[in-house]
Amino acid sequence: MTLVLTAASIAVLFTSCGKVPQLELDAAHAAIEQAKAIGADVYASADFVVLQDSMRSVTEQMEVKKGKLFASYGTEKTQLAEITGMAAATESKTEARKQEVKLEIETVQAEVTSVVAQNAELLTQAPKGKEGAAALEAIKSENSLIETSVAEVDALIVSNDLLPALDKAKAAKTKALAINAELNEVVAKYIQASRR
Amino acid sequence: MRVKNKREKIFIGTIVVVLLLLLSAALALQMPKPPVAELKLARAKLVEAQKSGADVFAPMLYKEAQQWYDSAMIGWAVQNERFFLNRKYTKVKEQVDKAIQKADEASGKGIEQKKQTKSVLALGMMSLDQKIAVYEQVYKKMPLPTAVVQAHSQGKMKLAECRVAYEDGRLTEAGKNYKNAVDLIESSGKHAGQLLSHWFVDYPQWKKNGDKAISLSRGGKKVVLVDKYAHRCVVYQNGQAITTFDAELGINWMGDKRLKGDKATPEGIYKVIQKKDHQHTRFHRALLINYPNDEDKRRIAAEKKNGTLARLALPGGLIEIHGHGGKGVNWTDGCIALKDEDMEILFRLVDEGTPVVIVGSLKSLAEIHQ
Repeated sequence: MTLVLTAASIAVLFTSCGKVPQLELDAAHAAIEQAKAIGADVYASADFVVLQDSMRSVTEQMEVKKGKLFASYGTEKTQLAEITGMAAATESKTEARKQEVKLEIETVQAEVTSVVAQNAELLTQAPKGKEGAAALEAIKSENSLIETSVAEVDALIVSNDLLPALDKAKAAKTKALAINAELNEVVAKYIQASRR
Repeated sequence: MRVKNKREKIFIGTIVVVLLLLLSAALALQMPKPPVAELKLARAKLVEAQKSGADVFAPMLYKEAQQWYDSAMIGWAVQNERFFLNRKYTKVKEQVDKAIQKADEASGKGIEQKKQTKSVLALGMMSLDQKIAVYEQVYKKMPLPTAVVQAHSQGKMKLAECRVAYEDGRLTEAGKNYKNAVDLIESSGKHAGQLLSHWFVDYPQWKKNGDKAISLSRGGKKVVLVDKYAHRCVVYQNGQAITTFDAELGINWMGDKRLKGDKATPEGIYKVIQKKDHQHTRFHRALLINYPNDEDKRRIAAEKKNGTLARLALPGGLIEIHGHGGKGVNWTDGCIALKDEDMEILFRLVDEGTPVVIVGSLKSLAEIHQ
């Protein structure tokens, strides 16, 4: 009887004791996936790398424990909970960064809109008739390009491609300012020529 | 006797248990060890590779490293499921080693590729800037098709987007925009270049006419020479340029005038046939020239004959050098417009009968591109 009991106890010992903290493991995985889904790998890339590495590290630790006779996952459970928390923080950081970019886009877009409005006003002052047509045709064409660009920025915001949207908005601003300078020059020349 | 028996049994039992425990401990010591330190190193290498940009610039190698690491982890988990004496980590070890090796390669290639991409983009942007400068200098004032002008403008926008992404360190995004910019800027430049080359087929004749204008002026006679490409109107006397004015031309100034309303400025050897003061022109002062001359009439007749021009097409007329210029654009219906103050000088310098030679360009295409 004693022999049987001893053998059974040893068998139990060898087939490990503690259970893998599956709930915490799933929660950590889900939190990381969620962070990635909202763009953490793009907008908070450094934090996301740390997050992925921490997850791998805990997984390694758990495998070490799984291979031991007496496994207890208390530390890993805590670490997984920490990773879930880190993922949530990364998510918040991502959202904050996205908001920052959105705000920057809005600011640049507002500047572009203002310059485009100034350009429209300048176009009304620009030479009319055949002498103005040639100059204005090219400028109008470039102005319409900015309007297209502004619409493309909006579409990129909707599809959550915020950084390309910001690039486009900044490029549109540069272009709008260049047209503004060109229009001012045309109008000034026209006014000067008309006075003669 | 019974007590003695019981004691013996306990003693034997204890011995057996101790022996079993000792055996277990001995076996546990003999258990194969998983490559924990190597896995930790592989993980660190993966992070290093990612930080070096390998996931973007050496994606295949980086992915391979990741796959080897994941395979090792799976292999380790599979071994952990086995009875401890049956566990083997040889394959796991091999996989980890592969992961480390591939992560190292990915890091190296990532750094190199990133550096190379950065340098290629920087040089590429510089080259596009030069192409834009050439376009602005050589082609911009040409009456180009709207599609060409738009492609060039879009190309400039894409280059600006490329520059923003580049300065922000997002080289992949910059690369995408760069490719678009190259396509647009090169295609618009190529199209404009082809139009200019096509027009310059007449360059030998322009050169001949330009030389003739200078030679005509050698006897002290004043000759007006208009260079359409340079937008210059030069007065020659005794083979020397005595004064030069900026000139504005017809909206479709490139190419010879062929018919009424084409808004082209004619090319050829003409003469002033009427001087109009401010009472006889709405353009301050004007010098009417004899377009179409005999040569134009012959050419137009030939074109009508070979069908390249409609039989009833009219050549147009009333081509003048007049005032109201200085607008910075080509805006006339085919005339040559000077600033009013320049027109007054020219008006005083020339008489009826003064030769007016209009050429496409006095410089060759090669000289222009220099």
